[in-house]
Amino acid sequence: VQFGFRPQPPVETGGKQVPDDGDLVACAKLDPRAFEPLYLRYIDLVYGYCYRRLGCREAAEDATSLVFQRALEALPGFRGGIFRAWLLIIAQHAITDTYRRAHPYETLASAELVVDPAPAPEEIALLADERRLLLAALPFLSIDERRVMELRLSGLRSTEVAIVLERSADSVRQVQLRATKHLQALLRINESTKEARNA
Amino acid sequence: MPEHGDLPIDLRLDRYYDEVFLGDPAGSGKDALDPSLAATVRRLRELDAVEPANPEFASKLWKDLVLAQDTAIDNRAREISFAAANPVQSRIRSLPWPDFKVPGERRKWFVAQFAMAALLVITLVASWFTFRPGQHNPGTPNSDSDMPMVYGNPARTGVQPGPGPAGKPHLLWRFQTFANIFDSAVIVNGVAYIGNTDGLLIAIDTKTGKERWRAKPGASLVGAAAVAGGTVYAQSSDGLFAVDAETGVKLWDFTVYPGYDSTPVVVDGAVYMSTRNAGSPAVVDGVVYVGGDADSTFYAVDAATGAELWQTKATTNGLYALDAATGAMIWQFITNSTVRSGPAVLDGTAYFGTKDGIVHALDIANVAERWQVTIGGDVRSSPTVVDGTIYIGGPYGDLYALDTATGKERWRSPIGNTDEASPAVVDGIVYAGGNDALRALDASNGQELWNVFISFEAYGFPRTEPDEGPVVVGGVVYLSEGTSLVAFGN
Repeated sequence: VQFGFRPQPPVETGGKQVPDDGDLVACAKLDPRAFEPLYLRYIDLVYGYCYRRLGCREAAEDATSLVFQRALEALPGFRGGIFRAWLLIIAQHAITDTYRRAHPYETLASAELVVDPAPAPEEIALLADERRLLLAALPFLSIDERRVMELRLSGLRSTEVAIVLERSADSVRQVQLRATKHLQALLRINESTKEARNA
Repeated sequence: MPEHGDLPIDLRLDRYYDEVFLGDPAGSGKDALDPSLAATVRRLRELDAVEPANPEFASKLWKDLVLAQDTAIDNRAREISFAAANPVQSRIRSLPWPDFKVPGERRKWFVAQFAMAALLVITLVASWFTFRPGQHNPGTPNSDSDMPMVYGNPARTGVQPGPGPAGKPHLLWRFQTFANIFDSAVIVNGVAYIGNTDGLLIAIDTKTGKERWRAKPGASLVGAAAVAGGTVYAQSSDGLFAVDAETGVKLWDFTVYPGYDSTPVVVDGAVYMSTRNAGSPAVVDGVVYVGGDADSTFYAVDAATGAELWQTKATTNGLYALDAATGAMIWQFITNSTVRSGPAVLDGTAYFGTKDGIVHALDIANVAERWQVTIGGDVRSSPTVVDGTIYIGGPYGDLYALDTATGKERWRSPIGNTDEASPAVVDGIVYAGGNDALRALDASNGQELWNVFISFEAYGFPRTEPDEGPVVVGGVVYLSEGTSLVAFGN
């Protein structure tokens, strides 16, 4: 069994066409076990998105479990459209619920700001693990920018991001532009701090 | 085929993201993109090293999911086979009998049951006297002093019941919902119904500003509700819901996925829908019309049961006319840009605005444009058509009054940021809510009569697609403002 969502080099399928989401959903509606190919196709997408939102493995796994439970329950009501956008709409709610369950006394506003407390921009450079650099930089973006970037980094197209966030594709692209410039500046601060420390 | 350099920068960046993150082969626009921006995108790809889900976790989760499905199927099968073998016992077993463990508890339980039954009888008798025929009844048709759906009627012309307040009003009450309200309230029998992005549908007594009930029928409510025959219909981001207007109890739901919402217009047996507008259902003659789904599908749903009557798919930007009974497409009018405003249909003409800043007047019988006027910006305010004049919010915070016959500008008045809100016109006075003030203008020349300062507030998210105009009923102006509903009167 191979798990993986990121586009892989084209695989020789011996002339057979890879079934698209719509066909797989139609099969899964008849028999829940037939959901497996969709599950394999999207587990990494959903997990990756939950990880980017929640910032820790355990919470991301909890949220991922919740997403697929709910997706299987709600599948008979799926009426077409882009399946993975539908899945990530469920994920949005599941993440808020996972967070609320862990922090029952906080307000909804803080549930929107799910990520562990961030260091100051200069301190990002001190992170030994460069792989956490981006996760540490995301909290400096506005909520709008973060929501768009988390989905975009997870591998959605801007039109799909627009569906998940209930916005127009135009506004998603504008926010994406702002967020990229913002991240560019944050990474520059990071580079210069690193150089100063090395000097 | 335009050069990449001709494309706006956000689009070029978007394509480059697609190339770097999704491996899209062509059309990247990389050459024309600012090299430092392109480098940032590539750096983000390098840094974005979220590992895939742990294979052990993934296979365990799948096993759990399969097990849960199997258990559910087994339980259902067991219930069915038990019911087939023991029809009487199965019905008794399904009754909610309590499990008595303490002696004497059985007697107490029966006394409690008797008391409950007596209470129920008293309640029924009392409600018969309160709501007996001829009295106030939520099931009766809406009266003239109601605003049962957004823009006043199924033709969405923006007619308000009125009257407006006498002179400059003051704040009567403010009801805070703590989540964004994206559309106007609807008001029926002295109750205002409002939905917010937390998915709450709230009924507010218009006399006191106090809550009657609240319900959470689904996810985020982005449009306005519609009320007919004692039932409130509202479209959330995951479906259409019917809720009892007196109690807030959910009656049925109908799944419509988010995407391109629509505010349908129903006139003379035809439904007019655009592919992009806030999702506010229309209810006419026992049928709820609603639009949605990523692929722009229009639905007609039985108002009593929630059963689907028909569905029709739209193809591209524009305005669609459908047969209200069958859903068959009568005509479609393709526009260059998305329709986010209107339409309002009056005297055989549909008035609507498009995202490229044009206001259109379309002759419905001939599907021919009578006129079009460019006012600029991104027309999102839905037109209010009263006495031969169209009132519509334009760019730079201007309110426009256009002649319905020619589209000629009658006047233009700067009233703050209203490009998304539709004005209300009652007895020669235009009421318009901007970001900072509720203003009243003389409808004949656009002169300001008075203004009341209101604060602009947003909770959590900034407002993305507000379309809220004032509602003028019984001498009071109701305005959805940020996260609260406010009432102004004398």
